[in-house]
Amino acid sequence: MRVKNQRHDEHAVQLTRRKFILTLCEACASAIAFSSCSNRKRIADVTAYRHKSENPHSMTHSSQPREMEQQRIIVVRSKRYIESGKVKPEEVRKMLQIGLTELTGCETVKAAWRNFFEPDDVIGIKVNCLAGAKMSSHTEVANAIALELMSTGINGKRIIIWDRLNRELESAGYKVTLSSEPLCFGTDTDGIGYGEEIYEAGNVGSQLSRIVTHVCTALINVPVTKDHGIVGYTGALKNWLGAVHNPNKYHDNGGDPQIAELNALTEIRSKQKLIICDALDLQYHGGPSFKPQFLVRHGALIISTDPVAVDVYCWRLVERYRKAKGLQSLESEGRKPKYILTAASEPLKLGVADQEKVQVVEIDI
Amino acid sequence: MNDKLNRRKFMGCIACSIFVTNVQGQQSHREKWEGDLKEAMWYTKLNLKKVRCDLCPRKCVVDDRERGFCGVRENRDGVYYTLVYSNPCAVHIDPIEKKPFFHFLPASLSFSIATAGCNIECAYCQNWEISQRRPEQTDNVYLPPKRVVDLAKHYECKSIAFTYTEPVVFYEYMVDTAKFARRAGIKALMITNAFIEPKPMREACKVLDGVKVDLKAFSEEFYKKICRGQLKPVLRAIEVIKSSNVWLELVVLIVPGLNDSPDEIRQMCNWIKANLGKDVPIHFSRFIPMYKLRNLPPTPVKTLERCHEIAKEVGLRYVYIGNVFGHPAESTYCPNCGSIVIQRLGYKTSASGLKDGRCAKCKFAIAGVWA
Repeated sequence: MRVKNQRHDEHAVQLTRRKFILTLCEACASAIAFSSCSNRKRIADVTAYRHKSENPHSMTHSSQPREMEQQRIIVVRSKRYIESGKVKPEEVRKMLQIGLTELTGCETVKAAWRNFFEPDDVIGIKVNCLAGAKMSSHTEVANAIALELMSTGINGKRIIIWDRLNRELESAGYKVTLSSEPLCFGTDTDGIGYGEEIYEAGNVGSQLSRIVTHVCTALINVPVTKDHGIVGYTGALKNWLGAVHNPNKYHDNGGDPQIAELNALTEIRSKQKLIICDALDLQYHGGPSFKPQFLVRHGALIISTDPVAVDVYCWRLVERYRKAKGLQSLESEGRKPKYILTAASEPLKLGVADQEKVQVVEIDI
Repeated sequence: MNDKLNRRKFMGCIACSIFVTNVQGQQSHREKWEGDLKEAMWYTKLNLKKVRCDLCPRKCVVDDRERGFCGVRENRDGVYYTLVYSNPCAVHIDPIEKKPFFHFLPASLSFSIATAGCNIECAYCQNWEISQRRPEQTDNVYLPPKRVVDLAKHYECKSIAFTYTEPVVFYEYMVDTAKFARRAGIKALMITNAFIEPKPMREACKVLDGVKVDLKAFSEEFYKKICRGQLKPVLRAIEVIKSSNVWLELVVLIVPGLNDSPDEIRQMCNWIKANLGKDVPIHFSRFIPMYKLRNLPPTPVKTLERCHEIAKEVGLRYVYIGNVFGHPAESTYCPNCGSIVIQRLGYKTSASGLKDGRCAKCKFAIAGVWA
């Protein structure tokens, strides 16, 4: 710790140079830890993806969703997804396979996944673990995604299930690991942390998780579907608050426009390939923390490449449940999630909010 | 200039740095980042395990497992906790002039501490690397209030300053430390944005001896767009401080093109004179490009001099220019005879023109805390 000699401004900063060196050491240590359980080829892989992530423009995929996908939402519902209170992994995987093939129009599941990801991608599965075991992205959903990706030939060490904190991942039932496949760890893991660069979203200055900026070349957004006491609704767009060092700064004015602008950052927008919204369970009131009295077993996965379309669809879903339970609409409570509409509008245009222009395919299995 | 004192200051700073390094070496801050988990003051429990923070005008409604805007107060199962009690991320021994306090025990040392977090976000924040982070993202040391006072005594500091980030967000830690300090005969100083509700400010003033307020500007627009705060509650808090019998100084960081219009400066100075009196020192400080505001040049010295001139025209007695090394307006002049009572050059301070709180030449009483 030191104080710069800028007198009246009382400039106190921490040893950035030391931190920098420390970070380098930690990164090396992590690389060694990664490689200790694999072979030399793995080390080469790590180097390859690091170089690749430094230049997003070198990515093989288009940074924009294709026109057809942008306007489609696939809703796969199953009444058999849960048995004796436990989510059935095989049923979830089946839902996923049906959803992906329907979304892409591919004949095989493998081709459907390959539509979005290459074998040399490093894929981050961003889950939402804030609310603990009962109302976070289900481990069964994240694991099913990882297994599907691995079945297409992607090395399990190149798949990372992640959120901001290891303890939040663990409290949601995930096993934090740097050795098993897929990997699973939080941004607070030694050697990861947040990048030095300051990004601006609205008038908030944020640092992004290195998992987004340095580690991953592609991202899958796996949010939950919840009411939120301040911003109204939390789903795909708001899930990226788990990628910044200061989510507490985003709640002013119902998150508008900060949350929308965060999603517009190139690092997130260009790498986000898929949204797989976990609506197996849904909370229509009292969020974002878990309130069992407002939980419903909805039994759906909602799959799209358009985060705005997914959020609008799920927001309406929440409103339907609220109405059915005799609650006021979010707008009536002064909590309309207007940031979603901002995300759809000029100049951001992150997706389609008008559900008339979105093809919603609902599949019951 | 008082060279002997400066040598002592230097040794004190070295010793403190060694101390901090040792403490850091003894504990893994990442594992113990919470310090002493302590229930927060100034909040209201709401339904569905929500709480409303009543400490600052933002009045965050915080759900279970969430934090307020400041990032250092967390709702856990309907109880609001401070995560930064006994948990500073910056510990230094500074000359008191660095705060800056120019009318409070000049040439003395101040034991200065800060925790992570702030309740506003200035686009030009000099300390954003700690003020805009959460406590788990900073390197912290475990330092309970009594230990802070013991160290301040050990290093012969006459005051403890709560500074660098925003003491409002570590309110409980500040207040408890200030209570211990008073018993030990050490002064307690708060360096703040004054974005705080009147009640907690009034309570804090009971254990504080001096408050320096960073008045960001005199327009709501600046506060909203550049600082994510509000002017009105700040002015209200400054009035509370002034009425509480603690020493008050003001600093205005002048940002070119944003808060430097002569009209705005004049309005500000008139408000100060009318509501706080002409004896409250005001420092116009130079902006240096920082954090999100790197596209502007440093403030021209001429702009600062113009602000100085306006303040004097309005009738304020003690007006200073800051962050401009060697400027004559760093020193304190007797409002009666104009002679130098406290001479400053950087952190070198000589109060040879001041005798028993009066101008040595004409005996005019100089406002301040001198002993």
